[in-house]
Amino acid sequence: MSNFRDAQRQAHPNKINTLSLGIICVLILILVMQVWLLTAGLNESLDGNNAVKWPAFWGSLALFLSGAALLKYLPEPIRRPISVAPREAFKDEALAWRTLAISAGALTLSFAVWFMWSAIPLRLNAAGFNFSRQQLFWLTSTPIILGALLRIPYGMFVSFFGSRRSFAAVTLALLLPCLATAFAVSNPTTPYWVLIGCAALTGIAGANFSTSMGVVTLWFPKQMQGTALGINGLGNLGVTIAQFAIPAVIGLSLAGSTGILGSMGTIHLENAALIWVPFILGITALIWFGTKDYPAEPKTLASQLAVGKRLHTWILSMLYFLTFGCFVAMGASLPLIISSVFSEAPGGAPNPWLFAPWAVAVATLMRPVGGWLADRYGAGLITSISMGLMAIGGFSLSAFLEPHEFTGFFLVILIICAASGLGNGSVFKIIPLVLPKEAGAAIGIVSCVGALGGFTPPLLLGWTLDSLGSPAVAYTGMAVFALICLVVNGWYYQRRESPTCCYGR
Amino acid sequence: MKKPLSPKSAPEVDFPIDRVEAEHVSRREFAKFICLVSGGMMMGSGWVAVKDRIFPPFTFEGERLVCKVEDVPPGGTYPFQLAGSTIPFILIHLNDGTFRAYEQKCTHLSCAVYYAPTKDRIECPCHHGYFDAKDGRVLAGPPPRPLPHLEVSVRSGSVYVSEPASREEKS
Repeated sequence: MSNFRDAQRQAHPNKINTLSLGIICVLILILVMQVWLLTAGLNESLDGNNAVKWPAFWGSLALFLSGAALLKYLPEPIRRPISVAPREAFKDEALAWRTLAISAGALTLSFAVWFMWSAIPLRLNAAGFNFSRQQLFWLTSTPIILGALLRIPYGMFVSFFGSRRSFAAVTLALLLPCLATAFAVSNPTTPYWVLIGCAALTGIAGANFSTSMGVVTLWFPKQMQGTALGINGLGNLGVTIAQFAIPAVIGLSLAGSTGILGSMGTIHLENAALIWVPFILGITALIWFGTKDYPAEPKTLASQLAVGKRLHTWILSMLYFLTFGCFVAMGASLPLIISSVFSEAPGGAPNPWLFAPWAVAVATLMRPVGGWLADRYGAGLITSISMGLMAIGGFSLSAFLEPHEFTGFFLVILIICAASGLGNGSVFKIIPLVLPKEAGAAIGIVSCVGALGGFTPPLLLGWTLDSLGSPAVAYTGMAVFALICLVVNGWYYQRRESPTCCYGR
Repeated sequence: MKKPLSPKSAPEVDFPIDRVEAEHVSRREFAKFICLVSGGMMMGSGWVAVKDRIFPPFTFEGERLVCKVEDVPPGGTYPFQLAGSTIPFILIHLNDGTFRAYEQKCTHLSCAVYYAPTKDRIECPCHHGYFDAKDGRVLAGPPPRPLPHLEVSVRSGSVYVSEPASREEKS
């Protein structure tokens, strides 16, 4: 049997019940008046003035009775079953964790190779090349842009060719940029377009991210994917490893001294590329012999491309654009901000290279924490917390842009970085949850947008710093964007009535 | 006979409600809870109104003997209770030689107050409330009203207290 109420419910399943909200507001108002009556009556009678206490009681009684009468008008509850994410069985636990460990290692290596070209251009001119600032800038950015774009096809590989074969292939493919770069930079007569080609080839290393994430998603049950993807995300540490390892090895003479590749004085730039070769071979062997193809039907290209039509792909891209972009912007542009805003700090300007790595490290280490918390308490909640913190931090940063406020500024930066790491982990937990069938392709798109997000905010920060003289506008803009994302995330992934609400365990 | 194995653990069988459902507070429940608190406020107001009826405040007739004058040196304090009540009072011998009697309970949160003879005031140690030792009015701090006092009369070396006239009027 159906009635008006049922029909309404079917027509507007998510309608907010204005009547019950109104009744709650009136009840709260009544309660406030009663609190006032009680305190007034008590105070007057303690003062010895007994004229107030009886009127106060009668007033309170009338208010209570009217409140109780209002309860009669509360709408009947809409019995909507609360959906709970079903716990999936963990089929092959040992193999899954082994795959995760190998994948995290491979991802670390990929990131290290990817950021090879951020270290090499700084020293090209010292090794005998002669390039302008603009040319060097493009050598650094080409792999980042290409790596971001290539993530989309790389995310789909897993579902076409199986996890083991595709992952081993893309890891082995890292040999190409390494060897090409080694040959190119060892000879200072190499033309610029060859170097650009090598840099572009290096972009494929950045794309490995989505393959790796796609492989890990397959092996873990839903309730553990946040943790697993978060641990896999520790591969970001490869950037730090590359930053420390490359300056150390280019002073050494490995292959350069044998004369095969030709040596250039004391700087052996080819070592920056060659040191990764043994690791690539080793990890490829580990993937080939240590993991298995996930038993699943290969998917059609059309079904994977359909992910572009899904609303959630783009919402999640926006959220990840914020969290990942924030992480990169805070980490990458911290030296610039420190040197331009805090150069007149009392006690001398802080050394940017001493502080900048901490921000990145905190964000990277918070990523598995975010994934784990998302598994435990629900990805929607954790993402909201992270974005709230980022918004508060972004708004308050403007207050710390004075030379003597460096401690406060750095603390806020650390909090924002920790929040963005938390958000990175929990946003990635949402992807396989709301797009289970096209997780690989969705990870590709989302991480592509995220990586581009890492590319644009530093430019924006630099621009506001140049044209407005203060990064406050950029920080406030970031905070406003975080607020928008907070609302969107709350609506889709935290609200209990939302069909895509992400619950905890 | 073999028992079929339940796929659920024992607590899940005993309490078959999901965690999210157990923690869920609907707006209906919230509204009812507000109404319950509102009822509590009404009861509180009622209690304030009838309290003096059920437990009438302590009063006494005539004068009561407290102690001898020489028991309390100037600047000294003499704590006492009146027969028939548990309210603690203090008798204060002010530096100018006169006597005062006050309730020892601070009007803020009923901490025990003491007389500071050098500053000629009564102090509450809990939240630094200060009362004038001469008439009990509040000098500083959180107390909302003066200390209740008793009338003191000294006759032939003995100190007597009696109800102040003003308290009779009010109750």
